[in-house]
This record gives sequence, C-alpha cells and structure tokens, in this order.
Amino acid sequence: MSGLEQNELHELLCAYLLGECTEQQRERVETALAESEELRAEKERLGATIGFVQGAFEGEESLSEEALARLLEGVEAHAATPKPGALPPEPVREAPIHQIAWYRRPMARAAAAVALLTGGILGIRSFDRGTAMHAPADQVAQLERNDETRRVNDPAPLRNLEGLGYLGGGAADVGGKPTGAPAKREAGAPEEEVLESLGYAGSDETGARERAQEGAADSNSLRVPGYGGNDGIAEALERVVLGARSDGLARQADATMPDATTPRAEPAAPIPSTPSSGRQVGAVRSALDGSERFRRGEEKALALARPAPQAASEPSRSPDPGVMIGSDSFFLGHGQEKQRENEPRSYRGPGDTVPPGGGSSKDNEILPRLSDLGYPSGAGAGPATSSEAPVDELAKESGPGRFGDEAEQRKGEADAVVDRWLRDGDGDEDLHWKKDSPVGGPRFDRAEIERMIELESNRVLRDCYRRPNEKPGAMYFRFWGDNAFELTELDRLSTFSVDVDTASYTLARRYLTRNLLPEKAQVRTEEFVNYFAPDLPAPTEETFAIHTELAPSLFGGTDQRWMLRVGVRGREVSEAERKPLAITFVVDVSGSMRQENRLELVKHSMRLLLSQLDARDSIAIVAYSKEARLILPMTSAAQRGVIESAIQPLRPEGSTNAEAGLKMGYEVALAGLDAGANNRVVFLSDGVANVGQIDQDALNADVRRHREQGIYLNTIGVGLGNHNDVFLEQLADKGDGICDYVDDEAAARRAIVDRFTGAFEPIASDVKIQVDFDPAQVYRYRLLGYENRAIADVDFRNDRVDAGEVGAGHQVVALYELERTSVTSEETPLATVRLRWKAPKGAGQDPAEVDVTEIERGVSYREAAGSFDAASAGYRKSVLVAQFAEFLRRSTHAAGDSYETLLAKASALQGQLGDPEFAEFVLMSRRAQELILAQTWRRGAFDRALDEYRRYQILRCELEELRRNLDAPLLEDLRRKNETLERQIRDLMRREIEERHG
Amino acid sequence: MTDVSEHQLLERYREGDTQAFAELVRRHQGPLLRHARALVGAGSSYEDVVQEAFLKLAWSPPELRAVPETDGRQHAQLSSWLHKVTRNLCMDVMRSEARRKRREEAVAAQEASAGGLDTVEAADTRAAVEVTLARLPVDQREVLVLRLLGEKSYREIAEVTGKKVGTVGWLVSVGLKALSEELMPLLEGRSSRSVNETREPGMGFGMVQGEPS
Repeated sequence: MSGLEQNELHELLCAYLLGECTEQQRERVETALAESEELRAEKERLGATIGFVQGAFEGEESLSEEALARLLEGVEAHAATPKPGALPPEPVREAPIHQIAWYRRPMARAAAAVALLTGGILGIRSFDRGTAMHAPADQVAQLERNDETRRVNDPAPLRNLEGLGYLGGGAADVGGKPTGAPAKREAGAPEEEVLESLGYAGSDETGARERAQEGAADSNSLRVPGYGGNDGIAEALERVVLGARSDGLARQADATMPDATTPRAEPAAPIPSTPSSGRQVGAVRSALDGSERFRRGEEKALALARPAPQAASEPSRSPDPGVMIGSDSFFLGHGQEKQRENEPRSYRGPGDTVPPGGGSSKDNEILPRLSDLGYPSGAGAGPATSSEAPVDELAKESGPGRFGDEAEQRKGEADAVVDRWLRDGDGDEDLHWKKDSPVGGPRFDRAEIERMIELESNRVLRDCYRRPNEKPGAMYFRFWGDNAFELTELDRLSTFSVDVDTASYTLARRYLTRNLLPEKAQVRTEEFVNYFAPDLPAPTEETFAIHTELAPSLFGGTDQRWMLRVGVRGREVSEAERKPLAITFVVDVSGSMRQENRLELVKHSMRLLLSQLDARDSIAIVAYSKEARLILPMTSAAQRGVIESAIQPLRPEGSTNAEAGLKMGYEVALAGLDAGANNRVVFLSDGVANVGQIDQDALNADVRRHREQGIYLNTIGVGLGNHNDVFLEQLADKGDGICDYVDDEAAARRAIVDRFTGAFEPIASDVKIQVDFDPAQVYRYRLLGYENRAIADVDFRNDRVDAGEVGAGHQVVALYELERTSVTSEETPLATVRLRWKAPKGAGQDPAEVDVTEIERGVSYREAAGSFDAASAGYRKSVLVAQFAEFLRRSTHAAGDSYETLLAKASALQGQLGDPEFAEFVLMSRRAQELILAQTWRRGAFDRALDEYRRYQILRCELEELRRNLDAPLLEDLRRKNETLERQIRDLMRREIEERHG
Repeated sequence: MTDVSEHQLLERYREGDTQAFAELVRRHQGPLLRHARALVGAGSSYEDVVQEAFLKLAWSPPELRAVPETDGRQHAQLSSWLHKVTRNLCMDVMRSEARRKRREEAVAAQEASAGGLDTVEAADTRAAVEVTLARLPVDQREVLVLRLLGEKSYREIAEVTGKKVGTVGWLVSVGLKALSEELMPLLEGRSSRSVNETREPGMGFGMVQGEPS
C-alpha cells in the first residue's frame, strides 16, 4: 500500500472512530480492518488514545469562583444599562475594568487608539491632503464620511478603478446595495453566511455547492451579449492612469525620466528600437506600467478581454490553462481570480464589472439572486470576499501543523493584513478593543462603526507607508515577500550568500505528491535550482569558476526582459584526496519517528553513509528522545560489525529533546576532535523539538559556538506533517553544513551517496556573490530566490560577515531577470559578477589566518543567446525549474506567466537531456499544474485595492529616492491615485464591517 | 434552569437577568477553557481570554437563529459563536511575540518539572496528556481538543477554525497518530509497565536535560 493510501486510510480510520464517517466510508474502513492486522492494531491504539485523553480530562472545567464573580459583576453592570444589546456607554464599560490587564483595558486602548488615530490621520493628511492637516480628528472623520458619500453618489472613480482591473465588484456593490442588503438578512444563517463571506467556508460540500450555485446564477446573469466593457476599460485607462495629463506625462516619461515612470520598459517609451508609430499608445501603457509595476498579467488580460469577451465570461471552460493564467489570475489577482477548474465562475474582475454606464442595471439583476444564495449584500463583497477564502484556506491547508505561529508570520504581508483583519484579531493590541466577534451577532451603533472603519483603515493604510529610510525593494519585500525589481540607478549592487541546500525541493515534491501546496516560505527558489546536477565544468586548479549566460527571458512577457544566469562551480575533490571524516550521528529516536518508518529511513541513511567511509574515517552515534545517550563512541569506520550492531537496535520511544541530543553529539565530537579531519555532526530528525530548549536562537548559538571550534553540522530531515523544515535549515545554516530532506531511499541515496563529497568535504566557507549592474545598460533587475540570503552590499568585503559554505563539486546558480536600457555597450560589461570566499576553517584554526579570495567576471551583451531555445541546456533547466518554484510560491512576478509554456519547454528539454531527475521534475510539474493553477493568486477586492495602493507607495518611494522629477503634474497624478485608492480601501473596509455588524 | 433554551436565556439576560447569563457561562465555559488553553497554553492567561469572550457575549450578544429549541442546535449556534470569539482573542494573544515567548517558557518549565512522560505516574495522566498535547503543533492541538474534549463535529470545527472539513480530518488524523505514539508508554504502562525496562541495560548513559535557556 502506498504511503498516500495509508494516510488516507488513517484519516478514515480516525473519522470512523470518531463517528464522522459516511456509510460508504464506514464500509471501506471495515473491509480494510478485516484485511489488515496492522490496521486493527492501529485502531486499538487510536481508540485507546482517544479514551485515554478523554478520560484524563474527565469532569467539568470551569472558571475559578473569583473569575466568575468578576465576570458576572461586569455583566451585571452592563445589564443595568437601558439598552441591552447595543454597546454600553463608556462608563459602563469601565465597570469590569479591574479584571482586565491594564493593556487590555478599554480606556488604555481607547487612549492608544486615539493617539494612533490622530497620528494616522495626520500622517495621511500631511501626505496627501495638506489642507486637512490640522483638522481635529472628528472633523477629519466627518470629512472622510462626506467623501464616502460623495463617492457613492459619483461612480466615476470606481469605474476607473475597475477599468484598471482591481476592485472586482466595487461598483456593483455601490449600485446594488439598496436591493441586496435587505434580502441578505433573511437569507440563511447569518453566522454561516457572514463567515462564508469572510473567507471561512463552512465546509467543503456546502461551500462548493453554494459557490457553484452562485456561479451558475452569475453566468446566467452575466453572459451579457456584446459585453460592453471595452469602452469602460479604455476610458478608465486614460482617465485614471494619465488623466488629462496623459500626453504630458507620457512625454515626460519618454524624455526626462524613463526610469521612474516606466519601471517595466514597455516597447514604446525608453527603447529606441520600437517603432515610433506606437509611441503614444506605448507611452500610455508604460505609464500604466509605471504605476502598476509588474502587472503584465493584467495587460494580457486586457488584451484578451477586448477581442474575446466571450472567453472572459466563460473561463470555466477555458481549454488552455496557459491562457487561463494569463487572462485570469493576473498579478495578485488584479481582476479576475483563477477559478477552480470545475467551478463555474462567479463574476468578478474587470471584464464582468465594467458595464459602460456604471453598472447598475446588470448588478441589480444579479443581486437578489446572490443574496438568495446566502451571499451578503453588496454583490461586490460577496464574490470578492469569497474569493479571499482560498487564500486563507490555502495558507492553512498547505501548511498544516508545521510552524504554528510561524506560519502566520511567514505568510505574505498582504495575506496577513487581510487575514488578521478578517479574523478581527490584530497585532496592535491597542486597537482591538473595538473589535468584536467574526460573525453576525454583535451590533454596534453607527458612531462605533464609523470609528472602527476609521481606525482600521488608518491602520491598514499606515502599514503601506514607507518606513523611515526604507528602500523600495524592502517595501516590496515587506508587502509581498518577493525580491523586487531593483532600479539599477538606485542600487546597482546585488549581494547574497550562496545556498547549496536542496531540502526545499525535496520537501515540496513530497507535498505535491500528497496534493498539497507547500507554503510560500517553504519554497526557496534557489534550492529548487540548485537541486539539479551540475552542468557547468568544474575548475581543475582554482577553487571556483564563475560562469554566466544571458538570454531573453522566457517568461518576461516582453522582449525587453532578459534572464541572466550566474553559475558558480566548485572544485571537485576526489575520493582519494578528501580529508578523513569524523562524523557524529545524532539520531532522533522519539515517538514521532515511528511514523512512516522514519527511523528506518534514518538507519538506512546512516548505513548508506557508512558505505562511503573507509578506514581513514570514524563515526560515533548519539541517540536522543527524552534524553540523549551514547550509542557508539568514536569508532573507526572499518569496524562495520560494531557499527551495525549499534545502529540496528535503535527504536523509537518517548519525547523529543533535540537540545540534549545536539549537546551530547557535540560533546562526543569534541572528545574525538581530529585537527586533521573534517569533523562533522550529522543530525537526523523529523525536526520537532519539544522538550528542553526549543528556542531556536539559543540552539543556533550553540551550533555556532561549536562551529567556531571546528565542528560542522549537517541536518537530514525526514517525515511530513510534523516536519519542521525551518528548524533544520537554520541549524545547518549555523553549522555551515547542508540541510537535506529525505523522503525515501532514493532521496537518501542521492543526498548521501551521490553528493557525498559535496556534503561532507567543504572547499570554501563564507561564500558571497555580488553582482554589479551597469545602470547605463541595465534598467532594473531582480534576483530570483535567495530571499533569506541577502547580505548588505557593504558587507561583501566584510569578512566578519558570515555566509554560506560550499562543498566539493557544488554548483550554485543564481538567476537575475533584468531589463535592459537602450544603451548597448560593447566595451563595458552590463554586469560584473564577483565571488568572495574563505578557505574552510579547520578545527582550532584562528579565523584571522584564513585566506580570503575574490574573483570576478564580466557579462557583456555580446555573449547573449538570441533566444531562450538557443541557450544551453543547463541554462534552460535552471530557468524552468526556477519558474516552477516561482509559480509554486505564488510569486508576484510569476502571475500572468503561462504554465503551458513551462510544461512545453520542460518537455522539450527533457527530450534532449534524458536526465532522470529532470524527468521527474517534468512529471511533477505536470501533475501539479491543476493544483497550482487552481489555487494561486486568489485575491479579493480589498487585497487588490491594497496592492494597488502599495504599488503607488513604492513608486512614490522610488521617485523620492531618485530625487528628481518630482514635478507638480506627476505628484498631482500620484496624489489623486493615492486618494482614490485610499477611499476605495476605506470603502471596502466599510462594506466588510457593515456586512458583519448589520 | 437547565431546561431553558439558550435563546430564552439570552432574552432573559437582555431583560436584566444576570443569573441567566451565569447559566450560559456554566453551560459553555468548559469547552471554551480547553479551547483557549489549547491555543495559548496552560501557562498563560487563557482564563482571561474566556472571560473576555463572555464579556463580548454580554456586551453584544449574537442573534440566534430561530430553530426548534429542543434539539440542541441553539446550543451549537451559540457555542460556535463563542468558540470563534475565543479563537480570535487567542489569536491576538498568540500574535504578541512577548507573550508567545512566555508561553513557550511556561511549557518548557512545565516539561522540565514534569520530567518527561516515562516518569509520569498514572495519577498524573491528565498532566501527561496536557504535556503531550502541548507538544503538538497548534493547529493539530486545536482540532483535537475541540473534537475529543469539546465534542465538536468535524463540521463544527471547520466552522470555528475556518479550515476545511477535509483539513480538519487530516489534522485530527496526524495529531491523533502523533498523540498515540507519544502516549504509547503510558498506554502500555497501564497494562505492562514497559518502556523503561525494555531499554537495554548498559546501552547508554542517560543525560539529564540541558539547562533551560
């Protein structure tokens, strides 16, 4: 039975025991039980566990007498107020105050909130509305409300925004609210319905069914013959993006500051090679790009939407997922979301929501139906927020049980903001006093709601502002967790530490076979790329060789984009010339290692490693569960029998005290420290430390300290579910070793046998790469992956700054997507790659004595390949694998890219390569297609408006950094867009809150 | 007052009867306390969280759907609402870095004093289960507590946590498996008192847990 079936059966078994099975499932479980003794034993065990747990908690639990008394006191005080149900007036609220920690007390929060509110508003005003700067908060709030009212009466700004592709159902909502609102209250259960709208789908079945119904309803209503959105889009493009100044701005973009207004060099503006006939349109477009940065998916969508409106209204039947992703799921969902393949599409996005006249008639038609189906009023809010559900669920589902809180933190910032907000929870404790439950129940009075909206909006908007001295790229990373396109003029240097780990790839593969998407933070693009076998020739004399290759970007969406591959290949060390190894295995034998035969896999890995060793080498073994114990003291690797008899009896037991294991491992390693050998601890675990020190920082410091003493640390992870990838990666990182993830015997063989010298024979430490781009030739660039490996440019030559290690024969590849300027120099390279490293530090060696070497190599346009297909196979492999990773990690840059292209090019390359690893990759990417296409880039209206707003903030930041061309028209244009967006965000928030609180 | 429906209790409370509210607290507090503790940990202010959830109920009670009062669905409705509020409050707590640190330290301290599973006496099974639960990843812990101790169905858990039913099933499965493996020594210990004895004598020397950070 495959692991997959086993897992499924285990799930069923649990459901069976807990009475959650359907009749069919019950039969299946019972059949399986009859067949398998193992399963019967498991059933016994689980049953006993359930009984044990429930028995242990026998008896009611209750608040302490004191707590209950205080609670009731508070309640009584409230009950005494004349209007139960409404929020109590302030004095009543104070009643229970003594029982609440000071920082949670309403007054404290109110005070903090007022301070923040004032600060936030002042910030906003001083930023965008100088006139209101000194208005008291109340007045400002009033102004804001007036704005809102105006906006509701005037659909123009909304329409414009839609034209740009964000704000799926904005206008629909405004137009339709009167009809939608009353209907909704009667429809179905308020809790569920609101919950649904907040992105917490009640359950698979009902959620899907309702969505399907909703979709069916829409597609009926929305298949408007003729599709009148074209004018709306074109009009909106011109009005919003450029306003009356489109010409001026475009000209300016062309002449004085191409960099600022056209971060994405579009055909027309900065590149002379473009025919001038397209100049006007191109300039308009590029200004659009300028404002929106990387929204090429959107462009494709616009392009697609115009000639083929029919396709836009029936994407569920789109035959070509490549087109699908291009048209549907543009960057961060600007516009339509990618739907589940088998789901009729609900209406959203520009194609649907931009009727020529502002969109009320169509919307009125649809609103009652939506509300009949249990969707909240405000058609926009319904589908738009329901589209947020997958983001939320995806995040949860793709990463169940591994990081806990950490997963939260590692989610994209936008997700987090929305998530936090949707959940009503908030990191700002000062602000959360005014919030309430997630669902329909609580009622607030009008003033309360207004205050909430104001506060929430300010907080969300405040998060979008540039922080002091923040660079545009840092803002980008803060917002979306991806490396930004850096303007070369602002930052010509890109510096990072090498990373030779590959665990991320193996782990992701494991997830995908289980039909789950890994979390964004788990997909490290560089590890995907570096997983594959080296294709560059290893240097024979020097430690490293730098190779570069340049070709047009396959996925750039424009012929101005190029992809630069920087490859660094390390010297091979032959088996004979490698140093002796002194390895201490630290083996996790805790209870969780029983799952999936993890311990057996670990033993297998140890035996494999042993098979690579000879009489020069020695090994020791420490096992740990609740505590650590020495299984085998440092023993010559020649004594196979002794070693095997130590490995064989290892059994899983008890809890997991990783710290004790590591500590003893280091003691053993130190005891057997051999200055002439390569001393290394190999930590094998499923990565869940739960007893002893579980503070990663402290463990890291421990590892670091021992590294100073000359002991490396490799980590090998096994298992899924509890596997803590980050924990192991960090440990290996600090121990200057490799982190591998091993999910089966083949992977173990690969990690240990095939990459033996690479993993166990270091050739260089603190290896840093710096690429210096020529601003004259490179307009902007972005580094794919290495997000966690960035090093400050100034630290490149600071040898105290730690960086990655490279083992013998390793190949490290980095990819840069770049946009060239019109300048092509035959003389100067467009980029110079520098590599700096130290000789590996042995045991007891003084850091000051270590040799430092730096080499460099220029890349010039002359050596560029004419097309992607003309580039080397190794180059193409890197690009395709990186692109897959970018898809998988929902990179903002991959939106709009065609998955079909990836598959086609990968298959073609596989035909030429015949590389089994790559063949597996091709298979995996094909299998994952549906999963990836179905679940990426779902963003709701609120998200999208927020993204747009952030983009403007980044653009503004770039302008400020460039310190030029901050002229009035441009600023005015930005200001207006900011303002519109700000209103939009406030409006969306208002709608959400009103939805929830009636 | 036990035969009074939740709807009626809420109504009475709205009319000023705080005893009705006390009854609501009595009916719901147990599962909520467990839920909160599962999320924020035993060492922290999980009681405060539950109190705050009830205060929210007092200040702005939800509208219960009109369903027959007899079949317990009202209870489920209000219970779900309270669990959701509790969960949100816990999320706030957990998000606070400082408090999380404290929680971890509390767990670590608890474990240090508990001395690991093997030494737990049968009388302390509850402590053992708590410690074991505390070691599970938070989302597994949450669904297990809701399912095993809160007697919530997968469906209800999905509603409360915002996860899909399938995900809940998976989390239960993974969590229960880990739990059963971790609790193995105790489960076996009940019948045969094994583990410690089965460890080969002289096989290794025990090392006491490292110093707490």
